[in-house]
Amino acid sequence: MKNFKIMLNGILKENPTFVLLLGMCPTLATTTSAVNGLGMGVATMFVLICSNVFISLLKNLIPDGVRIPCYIIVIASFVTILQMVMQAYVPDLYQTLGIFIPLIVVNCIILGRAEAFAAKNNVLASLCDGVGIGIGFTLALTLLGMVRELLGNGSFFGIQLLPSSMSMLVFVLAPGAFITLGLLIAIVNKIKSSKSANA
Amino acid sequence: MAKLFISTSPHAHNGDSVEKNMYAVVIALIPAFIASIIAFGLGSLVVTATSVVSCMFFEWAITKYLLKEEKTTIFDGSAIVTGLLLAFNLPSNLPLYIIIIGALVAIGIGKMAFGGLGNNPFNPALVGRVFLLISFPAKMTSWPETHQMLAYADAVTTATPLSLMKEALSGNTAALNQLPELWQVFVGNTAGCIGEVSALALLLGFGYLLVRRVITWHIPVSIFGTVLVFTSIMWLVNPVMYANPLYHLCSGGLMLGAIFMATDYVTSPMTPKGMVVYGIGIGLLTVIIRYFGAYPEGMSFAILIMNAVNPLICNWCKPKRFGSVKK
Amino acid sequence: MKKLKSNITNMVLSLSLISVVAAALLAWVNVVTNGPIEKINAETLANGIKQVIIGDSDIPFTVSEPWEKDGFVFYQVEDSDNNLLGTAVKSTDPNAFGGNLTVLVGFNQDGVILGYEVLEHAETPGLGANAVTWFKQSTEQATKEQSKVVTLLLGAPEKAGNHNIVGMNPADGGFTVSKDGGKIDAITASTITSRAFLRAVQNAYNALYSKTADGTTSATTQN
Repeated sequence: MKNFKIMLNGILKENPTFVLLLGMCPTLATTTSAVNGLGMGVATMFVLICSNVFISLLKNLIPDGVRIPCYIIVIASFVTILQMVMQAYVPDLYQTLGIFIPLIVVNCIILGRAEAFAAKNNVLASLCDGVGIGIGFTLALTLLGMVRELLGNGSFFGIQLLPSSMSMLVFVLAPGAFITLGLLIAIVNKIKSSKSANA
Repeated sequence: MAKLFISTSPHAHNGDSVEKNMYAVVIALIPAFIASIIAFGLGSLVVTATSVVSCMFFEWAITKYLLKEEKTTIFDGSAIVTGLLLAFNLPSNLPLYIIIIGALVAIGIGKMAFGGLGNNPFNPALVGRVFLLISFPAKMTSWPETHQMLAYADAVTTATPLSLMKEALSGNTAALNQLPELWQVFVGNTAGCIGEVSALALLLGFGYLLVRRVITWHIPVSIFGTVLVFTSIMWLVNPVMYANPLYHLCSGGLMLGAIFMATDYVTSPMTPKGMVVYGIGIGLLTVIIRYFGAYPEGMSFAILIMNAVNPLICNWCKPKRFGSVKK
Repeated sequence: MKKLKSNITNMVLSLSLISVVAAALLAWVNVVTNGPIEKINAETLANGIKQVIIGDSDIPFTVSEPWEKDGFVFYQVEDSDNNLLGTAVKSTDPNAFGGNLTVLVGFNQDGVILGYEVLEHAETPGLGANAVTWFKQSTEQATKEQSKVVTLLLGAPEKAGNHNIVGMNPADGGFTVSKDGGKIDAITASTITSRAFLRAVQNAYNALYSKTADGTTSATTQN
């Protein structure tokens, strides 16, 4: 029950994108379509879960003085594994996500959860936290990607709904990412504030 | 005994109001509107009407249903001015749904998202225009030829003086010979956005605004001066590749932007010194984008960039407090 | 287990241990994935070459060793009986709107264009970036008449245009945009990109059939 709460916390109350506003670089840059957002989210989730579990396992083996270098090595190893596996087995997604796969290393969500959660909690709780935050991040990126793809390209998960010549190109470019993210955060806050007003 | 009121400054008021200034701007835009109807006919009327009506509609809808304010602000004139300026920055053959999207972005994202009139860091009409320019690059850069009074989407399109100048810069210097005569560009007989077509009409509006003291000369004149100096230097260096500076001054959105959009109270500096710095910045950026950027016209981007810098300029050019001593 | 103290021995030991384990793990993954990655990279190039010469049909083919001349890269494609199917040429034009535009164009023996792929570009999305597909198919005249109201609201239907270069031969002339007197309609509002693209294709053709002094052409072959 407690672990389930930890998981839910990552998805809703401490959603990394809409509430904590962490990991903005991949959030803004890779969500040009729903599939790309989903891919980036799942890739980050994989690294996050692995690093959370391993750092939680190793937490007593790592002296405080060198904890950050150790965390980075653990995270970077998983990112490199992920990169090679993606390059070998899903080359298309690897091509579109490009530089942002290696950049998962410096995604502050992962180092942040390692430092703030995994280093202080047991393996199971860290696993749940990784899953929760990972799902929260994936959901947010997919939602962002869906909105941007629909408005910017007239399609939904690659299915063309409107002719792409009629849609607003700005949404698949960088400025559209900022506008969409801002509007989505506004909507999330609106829903949250009306909920707390009712309760 | 009469009651003694205690209030903060200012204590004197000359009766100026948002409405008064906004409607003065509307009046100043009338010559440009007439020039655009002469040049583009029906298209100009339809685009302008659509833009103004949809800007007012979104202003009303957002204040009433989203912000739930008692009093709507649709008649303070600011939505009308935004609608007019947005329309004046669009080609006259634009499909209506694009104009409506532009109005929604201008009012919704450009103005209301920041808290309404007086709180917007960027000029709302330009936010709408640049949004459309990036979203619909092909439709936003196809310009109808002048004097097709009844044509709309089926209008024959042609190159603007600015796109010819851009072509000359990319090596095809013969394009400069296709430029219309300077006189034609000045009175407004070339392709382009609705409101920017006639430099003459825009200057008439400028005169009216100066006489009514709605704006001061600082921003427009420093923009004109900077553009003139910069383009003259380039022209003197290589007249084959770089066009006559007067073409730069009279074509594109330069006049419209300098007179009506860079001078927006909310988004420009308040002191004369700040205004000059701001104007020079806009002029430089415009010419840099025209010469080296991806787009043939840089006026709207230049104004938006300087809008962003505006708080810094205001801070830097703060007037000295009366009686203060330099330490 | 109690947490290790931050003294120098512990720090060095634990950091080294983690590094060694990580390095070993990575080495193993590298060995496992190296094969598939190389295979996929080779396939991507081969697929591009196949696309521009053969298209979607499934006939067996072999690609020769590439050779280079004046910055152009040539790949000869032969069928299983060693008949020349065509040559793919990689050509770059530096003066597109966003800088370099690299295309891979396939020609048959007579110089007829069989297909092309844009390999690399930095053109504006929605404008010049349309070069990726624009020159593969012409726009046909809309068959249905559109009502005036729809046109006003949503804009005019796409105008018919001739911009399919597949099947054309640059030797026939007129291989420029219609604005410059050629036979090919430029991408809407992207004349500079269109010119750069056609120049890259024309240059590829010229490099492949390098013109000799008396005006006849001779195919460049692998020597």
